Amino acid sequence: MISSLVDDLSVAIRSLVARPGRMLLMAAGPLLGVAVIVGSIGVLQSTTGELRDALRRLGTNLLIATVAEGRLPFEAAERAARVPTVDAVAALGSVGGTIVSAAPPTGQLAVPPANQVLTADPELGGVLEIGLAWGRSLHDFDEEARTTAAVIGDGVAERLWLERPDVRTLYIGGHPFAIVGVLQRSPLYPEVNSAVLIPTTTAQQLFGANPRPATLLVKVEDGTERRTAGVLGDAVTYGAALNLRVSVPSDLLAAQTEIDRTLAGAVVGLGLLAMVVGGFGIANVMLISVMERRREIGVRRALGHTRGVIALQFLTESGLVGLIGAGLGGALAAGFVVAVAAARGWTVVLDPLVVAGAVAAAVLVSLLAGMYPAARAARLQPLDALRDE
Amino acid sequence: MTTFETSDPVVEAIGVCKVYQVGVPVTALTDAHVSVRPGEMVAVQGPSGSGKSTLLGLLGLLDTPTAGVVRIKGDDISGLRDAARSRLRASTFGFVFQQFNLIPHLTAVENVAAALLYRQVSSKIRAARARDVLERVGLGDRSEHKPGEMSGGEQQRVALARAVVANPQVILADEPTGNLDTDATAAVLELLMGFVAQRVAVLVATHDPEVASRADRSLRMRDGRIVR
Repeated sequence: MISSLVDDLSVAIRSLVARPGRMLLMAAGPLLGVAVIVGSIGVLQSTTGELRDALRRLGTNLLIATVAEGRLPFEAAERAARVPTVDAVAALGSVGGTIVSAAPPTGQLAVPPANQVLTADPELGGVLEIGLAWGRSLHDFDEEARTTAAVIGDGVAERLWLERPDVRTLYIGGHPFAIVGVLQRSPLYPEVNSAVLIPTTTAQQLFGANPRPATLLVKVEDGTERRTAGVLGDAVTYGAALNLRVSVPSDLLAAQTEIDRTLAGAVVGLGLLAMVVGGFGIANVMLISVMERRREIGVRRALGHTRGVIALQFLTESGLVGLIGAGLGGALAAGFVVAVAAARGWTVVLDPLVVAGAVAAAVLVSLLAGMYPAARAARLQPLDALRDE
Repeated sequence: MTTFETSDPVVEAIGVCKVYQVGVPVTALTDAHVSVRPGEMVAVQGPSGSGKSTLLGLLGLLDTPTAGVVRIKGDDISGLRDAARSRLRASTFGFVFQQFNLIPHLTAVENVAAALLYRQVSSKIRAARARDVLERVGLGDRSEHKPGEMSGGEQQRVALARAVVANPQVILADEPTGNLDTDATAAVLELLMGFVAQRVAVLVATHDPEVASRADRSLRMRDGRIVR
């Protein structure tokens, strides 16, 4: 039994290799189908790859509370921390109307290296579960002494030091600040990656910034995100008419996933269509092949090969063509996804289920396409097949 | 099962008829009676279209008769299904054709070894036996060549090697020398006679009087009938 299968495979491979051009033509359908499905879904999933990765690693237990207008109460962080399911809170204030530049203000316009200036909170790293990529964080001393020290986000450091790796001073609203630290990249709260953090007291003194926080980052016990989000508003505002909005980053992912799913459905449909059209191509070429190889079929029958063996040989050929096409398509698509992700700085996501499903579908369609030609080959009368044209 | 004596016919046709349906019924063979014994060489002669190939095909289980009985070693094979017929064909017959019918993308040794496929014989043993037989037909040095790289005579000797590699009891040869020159014809004929000497039965359809003259007896066919 097994040796028959080995024989069957080796015969099919020899026949396919003898006509490489034809094999590639037949493999085009499954190749395109698998490439479309694996490539598109891979790219779709990789766009949120970093967030997926972070959520898998860090959990989904982060809430972000902001108000549409104005600020949160002074004690917002303490109030939030009193909710029993809250583990840690970081309050961020924003310093509006300041321009960050890498050079002293000389009147020339320069592209600001940071989008916004935030006031720091010592809990920030703990809540976001990130540390420092370099340097130190801001301590109580900075607050007390109103130092002009700044910790910058990972994106700011990248933009700043790509061009001027020696710069250690940033000018915020014209005031020089020493860069003392760089935050690690935060996938859960990407806003911080493009921000500069300075002490709250310094912000107040130099820029007259509102010392009340604008945003709360709240880390909650696992599995209590919904419940905590429900009570956080009242806990923080004490029922005041502040329009507190609480968002969960994993909800963003869920919404994104919903969109992705619709797109993926369309893409899978297209890929399957390519496979089915390719399947007709395979059936067509195989039929021609059966006609051309009538003599070979006749000889094999004369050598004692049964109808079943003949049918199985052609089925194996079409299945192999499907597998080869699907393999090539999968490899091409994986390479494409990796290249796109590398160019965009995404984390590559290639769902093995998607790859396996696409390959299986391509092989199945190819086998179905091979059934009719295989039946035709098996039904050939050996004497007719051997007779002179 | 009937007991089979070595001198009994290895293959017999008893009142065999074949009618093809090609829109209208076309009678290719009428009431053929043939029996071939081991070690016997029988020539089948007659003009083109007289039914020689049909007779060989029916005897070789490549087709089923419309009427009549084909016996292999005394057993009526009428009721056998395709798989059993194929097995019996593989173990009993070796075929040689005028057009050689080698598989073009396979080498000589692979073409010969193809006759041993699907028989639970390892590829190593298949190749070794194929090489042996190619040696016997004088093509030991051509075993890695493809049919396109060989002369007609060489190709027909490869086909002969393929026909005998599984040790058949009957060789059915349909115009085996029809495409060959005199020297190649002589070589193929010598090989055929050699198998006859080893008690293989040979049934050869031929136009060539030289081939027919070497046979133990001749059947003459005309219009689908054996006339003598």
